[in-house]
Amino acid sequence: MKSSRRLRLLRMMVTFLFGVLAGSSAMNLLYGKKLDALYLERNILIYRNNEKSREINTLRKDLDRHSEPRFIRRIPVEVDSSDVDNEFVQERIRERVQQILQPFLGKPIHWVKDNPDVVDNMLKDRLLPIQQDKETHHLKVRLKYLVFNGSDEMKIWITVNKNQEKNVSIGRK
Amino acid sequence: MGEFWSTTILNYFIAMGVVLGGSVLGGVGAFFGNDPPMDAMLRLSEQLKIWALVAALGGTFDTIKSFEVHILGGELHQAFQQMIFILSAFFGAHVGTVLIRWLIQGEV
Repeated sequence: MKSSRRLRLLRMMVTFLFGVLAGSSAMNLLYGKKLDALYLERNILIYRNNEKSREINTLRKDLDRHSEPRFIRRIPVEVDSSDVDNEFVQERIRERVQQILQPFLGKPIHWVKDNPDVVDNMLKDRLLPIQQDKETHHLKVRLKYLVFNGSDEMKIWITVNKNQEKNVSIGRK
Repeated sequence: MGEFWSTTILNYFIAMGVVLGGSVLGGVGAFFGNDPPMDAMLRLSEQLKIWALVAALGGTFDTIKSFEVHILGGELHQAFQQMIFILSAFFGAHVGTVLIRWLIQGEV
């Protein structure tokens, strides 16, 4: 009696296992194609994702390289010669202004970009004593434009006006 | 004669069963292993062909041994029978592979 019961139990278990196998096989056959398509799509997406990540890293490196600090190496000066037409005087004015702005050489460009009024304040209403023909001319200088060219040049335009105070004259040709 | 045909048919269906059963259950296993099941079934059907042949014949060594004995013993019709059994098993395995291929045929 016991052995027949055990045999029945064993048969039921085996039948159940066969049923599980048959059911899983049937489900596999019914949905196998769909599953394969999803696996393929997943692999394609993983591959594309990896590709995009590599591209992003490359772009990030490029961006970091370009955002490295740029330094001012040259400060060309252009003179607005409405009141001063003597070229020698203009040349001396350029030299003087470049001397005044010497502290900016070697400084990072963003230093000036973040504080544009620094250059203006340094030149604002400054009186430049220009020596010519044994005479000293006092000229008022003011910043007109400020432009950054390339990665290392800060070009400035200045206006020069005669000083309205007494005992001052402007050199002429 | 009856035994000859029954052995032939048996070899045919055993070989086919090994290919079909191995491929289908291998596909179920591939599903659980996170692999594409149909692709696994296709690969397995090709790989199991030879093993199906061996399983149907009951081993390679015995078959080749009986070949040798029959040929050397001059019993050529026995050797021919063995050849038929091998061919029958081969066709059974091949039909199983073709059925799996037809089942999976189509774009993924």
